[in-house]
Amino acid sequence: MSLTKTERTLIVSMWAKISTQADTIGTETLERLFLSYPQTKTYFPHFDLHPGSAQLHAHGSKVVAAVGDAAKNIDNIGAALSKLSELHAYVLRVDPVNFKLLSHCLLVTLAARFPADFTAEAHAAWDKFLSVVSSVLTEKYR
Amino acid sequence: MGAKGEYYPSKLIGKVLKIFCISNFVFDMVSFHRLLVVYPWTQRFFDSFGNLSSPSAILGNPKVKAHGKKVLTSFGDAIKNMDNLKTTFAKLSELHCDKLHVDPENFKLLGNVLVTVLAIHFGKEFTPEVQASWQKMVAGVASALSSRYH
Repeated sequence: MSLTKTERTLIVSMWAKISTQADTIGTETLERLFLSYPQTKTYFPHFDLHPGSAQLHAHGSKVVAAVGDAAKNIDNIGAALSKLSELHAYVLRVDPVNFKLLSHCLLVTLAARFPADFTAEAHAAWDKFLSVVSSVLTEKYR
Repeated sequence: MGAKGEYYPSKLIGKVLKIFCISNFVFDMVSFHRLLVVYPWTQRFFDSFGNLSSPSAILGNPKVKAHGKKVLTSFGDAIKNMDNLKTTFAKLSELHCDKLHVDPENFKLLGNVLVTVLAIHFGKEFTPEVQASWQKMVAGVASALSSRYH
């Protein structure tokens, strides 16, 4: 699955808008993830996950920054996220099913904040893009 | 979810449900159309629908509109029978298995598209808490629809 030119343009142009709210988008995405899919909290026993927690905010920023890196290097996501891919494979070992859950929650966050931009085509492009990012992050698992 | 698997709609979901029922024609069209655009392989079940070659073709297709209405009316039934989903969807489950041969994975895809469409329409009001209620709902519907598969 690779992104078409149109899809890449869509992602990159939307990212420009999104990046201005990157921090709060990250926090909201994680809040949605932990509420809708409580089993994902098992990866964060060491975190304070209450709304407003500094750790939640910091981690949300990290996640969205990584998505941003992928968007800014959309022609070579594999290279851009190579270190993160190793981290997930050898250290974090988050079960692959969870990438879909996080991607969905990020999509919902974007849809709620940018309703006019989130056309069916944009929705398709983002879903595909996040799917590519997820593949890159799990490609070294075994 | 309660001990016996029943749902506890919070007052948050109640507000969204009221609006859903009034304007469900919007969600009908939009969610089903989006499913076919975002996950094009779902078109495999709709060869008889005619032109599905582009997002605008799908949007303008009268059969897609009609089918979207059918599907989302079912969601309306789900909302009215939240404590009894398996019974409510028993016949539909058999239909999807024996006649339509639909992979239950598709029920999850539609559920998530519906959640995304709700987020677009309700924006800030579609809080993480409201989303969580809806995720339970769509998961319940997906599970009920696959309960008679064999």
